[in-house]
Amino acid sequence: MRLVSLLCVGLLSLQVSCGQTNKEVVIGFVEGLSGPFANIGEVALRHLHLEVDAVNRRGNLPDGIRMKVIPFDNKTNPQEALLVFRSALDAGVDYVFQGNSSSVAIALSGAIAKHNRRNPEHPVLFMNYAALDPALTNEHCEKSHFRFDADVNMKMAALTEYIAVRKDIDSVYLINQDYSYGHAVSAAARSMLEVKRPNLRIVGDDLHPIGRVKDFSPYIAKIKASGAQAIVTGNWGSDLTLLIKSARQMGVDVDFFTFNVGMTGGVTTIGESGVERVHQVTNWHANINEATQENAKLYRVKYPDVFEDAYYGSIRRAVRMLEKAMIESGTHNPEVVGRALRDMEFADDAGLVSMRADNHQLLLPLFVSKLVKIAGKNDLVDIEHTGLGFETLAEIPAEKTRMTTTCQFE
Amino acid sequence: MEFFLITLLNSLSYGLLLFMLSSGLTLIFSMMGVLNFAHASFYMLGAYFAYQTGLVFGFWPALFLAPILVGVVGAITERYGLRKVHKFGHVAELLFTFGLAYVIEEVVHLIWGRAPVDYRIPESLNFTLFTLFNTQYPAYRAFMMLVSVGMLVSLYLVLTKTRIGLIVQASLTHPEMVQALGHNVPRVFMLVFAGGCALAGLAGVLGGNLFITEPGMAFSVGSIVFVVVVVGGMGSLVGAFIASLLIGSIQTFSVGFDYSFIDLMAALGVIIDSNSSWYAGLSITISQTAPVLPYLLMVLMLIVRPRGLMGTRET
Repeated sequence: MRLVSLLCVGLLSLQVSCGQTNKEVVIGFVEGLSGPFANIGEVALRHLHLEVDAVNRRGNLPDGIRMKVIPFDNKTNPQEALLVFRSALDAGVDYVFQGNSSSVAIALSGAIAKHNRRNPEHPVLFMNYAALDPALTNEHCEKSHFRFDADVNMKMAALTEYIAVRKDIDSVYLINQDYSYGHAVSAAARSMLEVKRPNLRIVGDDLHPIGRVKDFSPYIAKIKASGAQAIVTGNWGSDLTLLIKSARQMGVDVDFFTFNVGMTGGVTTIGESGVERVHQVTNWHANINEATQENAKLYRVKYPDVFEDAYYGSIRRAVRMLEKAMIESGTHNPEVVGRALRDMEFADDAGLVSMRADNHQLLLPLFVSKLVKIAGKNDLVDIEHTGLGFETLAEIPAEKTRMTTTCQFE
Repeated sequence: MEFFLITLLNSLSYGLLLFMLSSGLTLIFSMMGVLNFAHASFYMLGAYFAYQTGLVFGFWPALFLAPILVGVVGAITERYGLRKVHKFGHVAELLFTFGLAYVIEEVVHLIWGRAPVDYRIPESLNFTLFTLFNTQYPAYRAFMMLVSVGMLVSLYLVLTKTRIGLIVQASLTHPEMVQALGHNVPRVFMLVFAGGCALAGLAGVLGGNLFITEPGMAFSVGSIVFVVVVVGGMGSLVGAFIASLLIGSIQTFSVGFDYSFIDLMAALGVIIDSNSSWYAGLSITISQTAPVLPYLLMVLMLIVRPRGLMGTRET
């Protein structure tokens, strides 16, 4: 009896693999796949599949291994994310991809670091493709965390540079989600606008609960009453789409300065009324150059029937840099790959990017773009079949986006 | 002035939508004594049915079809579910509807997926009705108000002027007597339950494209409906009407007020600056607490007047 139970225990423990003995490296996509942000979780998953399939097709990874993606639904909730991370570990995950919601990212980053300290034989890396709270590369920085998109301060610096030259705007309204990321956006906007345009009035600063407000008309009425000429928001997902929807329905014609309007549904919602008025600061959009247009078209080729167009340049960057790190280090062991990722330079479609070794923040060119009509502009790619697309207004080179950091890896 | 008028109109349309939802709930409660936890799920089903039938038939036929379909689902639930559970008491009925809410949500996940569906306002209603000062008022909200008021008026007429309405009213207070007089009271119960669910379904048809149609919508709206019913008083339609308008106004107007306790103190001449250790708590503005205010009202109501504003039946 004892022998049988010992045998059972032995067989069971064999199932907990760390991916190293198998011919595949497991990428755990721990993201919100249900709840108010399910649609953008699905979009990100599609981007991930596209890139991982391309890597496997190229077949250049060491030892002929392949990448495999397993999605885990964290319901955009930090506690759920931690629970689901445990099941991801049981599935042998090596790399965790997450980005929607900085609060989840901070929780995950801490959990992954703790796991790595307690289980040094099964290291896991956190590839953050969209959680922009600066804390992740400052006071909450971890050696296992790498961010592939510019943080709030980097993006707001770029955006406020552009707002500063718009002499026709003398009042702005800030509206953001009420959690760490939204607070960071609001604080950055205030402090940077104060320096760059001291005579600009900030006539309002609202924080609304994340993912819960379905009807933004009270906020839009308030914005209207304040007389603001521009709205600055870091909102993402349905929070941005609904805000724009209310603004459009109530005929509030202000300029929008956003981080994410090119994401799912934003352009379709604002429609033609947003032409020349809606701006975003991003690390990628389809019309930066021919290479980005190519990648946008590749996404359409793989997913001809979905609603959205290519958006997450950060996911492609993360997967390709991961591939390069694995090839360079000759292994897929996350610890070795992590060391190769630091200080790595990579020629992305939008420009040259490099990973900072001091806080694992990617230095990358940022683009302030505005919505324009595609017709008559040869070769611009449109979004969601609306005949509208983005045109770069200003490019901020990678080195100029560098911010000081308080990060100290132990 | 503009802000006040626009917000008033918005709160009216939202309040009337809430009333459509809560009137069904309060009717069911006053008839059968069971608090239907799955009521918001029927609201969600109404939105999804409208989306699905709208794909085939268009919005206007869906406006009539979807509530009828939801009513049928409600009738089936009552006949084969609630009636069987009824003999085990109120708690069992409550638990049944609670479980039903989860089941409906998972069924929606299975059929339509976890992401929001693209249920849109029909093009025929997607225009500006009028422009108040500088703000446009969308026609769809006015249409929503029109349908809500029309539905209320017809509900009132049915309940007071028709034979079936009289029987329903009588069964509300004297079910045994009505049964003794030869009417099929269980069938009346089923009709009322189906009617209440159809009302929720109609609210879903209208609200689903104004707010997003997604599997989480039942959960987000369900709590507010309960606040309305508690504040208005269980079993009172007029109370539900007043409470839904009140809650709608509170939720919509409170966003516009950026005053905090600190501002109140400043108006009285007491300056509290950021060095005070209470600053973080006291500087919370009304607009930041806007989502919480209806629940605060519910708690206050339960403490001060548990019957609700016009309640006729104890919980």
